[in-house]
Amino acid sequence: MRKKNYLLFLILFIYTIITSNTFARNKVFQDKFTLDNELKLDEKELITKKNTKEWIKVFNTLINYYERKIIIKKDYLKLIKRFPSNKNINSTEIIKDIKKDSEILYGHGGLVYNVNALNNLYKFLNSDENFDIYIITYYFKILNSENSDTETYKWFSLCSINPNHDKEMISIRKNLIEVFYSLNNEGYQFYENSIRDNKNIGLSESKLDKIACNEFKKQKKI
Amino acid sequence: MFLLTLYIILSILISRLILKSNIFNIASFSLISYWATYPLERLSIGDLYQTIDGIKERGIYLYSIFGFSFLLGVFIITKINPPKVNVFASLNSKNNLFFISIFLGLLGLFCFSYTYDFDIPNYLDFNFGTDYDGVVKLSRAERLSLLSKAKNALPYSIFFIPSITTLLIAIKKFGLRNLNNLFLSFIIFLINIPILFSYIIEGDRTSLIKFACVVFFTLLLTQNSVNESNKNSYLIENFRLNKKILINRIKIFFILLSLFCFLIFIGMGRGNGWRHTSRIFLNLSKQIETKMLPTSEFRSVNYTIDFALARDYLNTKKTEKMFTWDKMIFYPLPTYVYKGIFKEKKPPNIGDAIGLETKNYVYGPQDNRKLGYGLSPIAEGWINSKYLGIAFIGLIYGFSIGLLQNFYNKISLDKISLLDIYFLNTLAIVPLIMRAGSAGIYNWIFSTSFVMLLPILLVTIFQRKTQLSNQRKIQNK
Repeated sequence: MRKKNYLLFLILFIYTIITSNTFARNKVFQDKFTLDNELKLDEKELITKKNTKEWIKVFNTLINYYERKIIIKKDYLKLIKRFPSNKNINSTEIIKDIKKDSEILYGHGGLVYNVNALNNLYKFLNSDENFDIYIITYYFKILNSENSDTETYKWFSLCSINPNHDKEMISIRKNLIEVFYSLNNEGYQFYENSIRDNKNIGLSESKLDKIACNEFKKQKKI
Repeated sequence: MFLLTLYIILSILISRLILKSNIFNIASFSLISYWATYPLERLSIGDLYQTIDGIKERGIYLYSIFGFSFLLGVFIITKINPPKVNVFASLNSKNNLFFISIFLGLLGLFCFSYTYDFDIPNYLDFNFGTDYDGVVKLSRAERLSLLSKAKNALPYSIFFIPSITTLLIAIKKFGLRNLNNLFLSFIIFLINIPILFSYIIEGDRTSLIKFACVVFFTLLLTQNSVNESNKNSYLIENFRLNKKILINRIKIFFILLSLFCFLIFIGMGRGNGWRHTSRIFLNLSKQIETKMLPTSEFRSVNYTIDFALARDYLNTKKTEKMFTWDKMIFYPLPTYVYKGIFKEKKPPNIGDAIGLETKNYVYGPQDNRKLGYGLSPIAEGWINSKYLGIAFIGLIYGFSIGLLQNFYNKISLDKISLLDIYFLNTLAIVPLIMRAGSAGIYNWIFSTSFVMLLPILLVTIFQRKTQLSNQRKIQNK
């Protein structure tokens, strides 16, 4: 009986290994949808102290812009009171604008949040040479999607070649992924046809990260 | 609209009180232009800040306070009719006039060359130099900002304009038939021409207006003054239209219109080292589409009124020290002299302070750009003493224009004196009174008058020496 159990366990174990190998070789995603056989690397960029500093600068400019905008809108409210006129802008509209801008600035995933995350990364990066996080962008198709013939999706992730960084990557990715999405207008057009906009597809972000990073590591080794 | 119409009617009535009212008419026309365009458009700064309508409605009243006190000032002067004083009448000789003109011309040329390190390629690169993309290295604003900070930048216009005035007086008075006069005039013209070209190259409309004004008013002078000839003619007399005057007015209207178009052309074409000339009509049609006037002149000057009104309610750091009226006497002092005397940096004038505060407010203090606006006297009056300040500056401007008109009508080429040349130099700024600020006007009058003292001193020394040697000769005989 013991031997039987042991054999059953062994068969199960071998089966798991075989299926995972098949998965790795065919790059087919065993989720609700099936990915295209080929992931096409579009862009890659090594995160360095220098470009992190540039991104921080971009965010600071945006923060400055929105802060000024809020101050000016608040001053409009004062001016409207002091210089009343029927033609003046409606104060309720101004208040709405202030709320909207405050959300962009201080809300969850807002500019202040993003710049703080980048500042933490900047402190974390010791030097440009020995740290190796890449921002990578991939194109892929989802085979069993309704529009699979026409639509190519884009995915970006943060990957490290060094396997020792894998643990750190989980938290870095978690903290920074939003930041890089926010940078879309300033460097990366991630939103364009991104699957983030197509959440109903039902793909898991963490799984996609894994696939993309593994593929990237392989290409790097070659 | 009612207040503006009332102003125009009163202005026409006052102009009929004056024997010849060309200076008053130009000043008044300038005021009307800024006033009429004030409600039409507003300046948008960085797409973040724009004046609200409530401020514009208040600004219209400020214009009327200024306008009517201006008219009151002119009216008082026409009633007082102050006598003209002749200062240094011995200036009135061919030698003296040509000497002063050539001396100032040379000084102007030296200052101009020194500013650009006596290097013509450097000057051309400074104005037209482009990078690899064909974009001019320095924008006009950057160029002006660099010049204002440069240690070797010397003011050359304050020599150029008096040199031209004196030259034209000499030509008008003594003619060009004499070969000597022709030769001297040609030399002086050659000395001055680089500065005139620089105005055209740089698209410096302010200096071109000053130049045109001085030429216009000096060439109008005759052997007898307006008051002496005492001819007064009106467009409508005894309910009849004077055709000769009507044709004359139509001519003047078209000349002014073409000059106005020319200035707009300069304003739209001078960007990027005159490489925008091909896009002038495109830019013009774009501005018409956005319901903007073809020149930003009026909206940027009128913005200073809007900002002055809003300033107290804006969440921005106010400039602590600037050249308000209580400190203005020291404004013409050069930066280094001011620093030496008062042991502190020379404060900005009100126009520069408005530019700086606007920049800090909209773009933040860390931003390096420099904003500058022509300062409206209404904004200046408001910042100094609110409503009273506006009435006061309006009255002072009225007195000044009235006095200039009064004295100009008494200038005759036969009895030209130093004070007359001072007045003629001052006339250069008349069309600009609504955008120069009183500190700027004071600085211009002071500087152009001051620079003439050196050649006058030399003339006096020569005259004394000649007198002494003549006396000795008589004694010896």
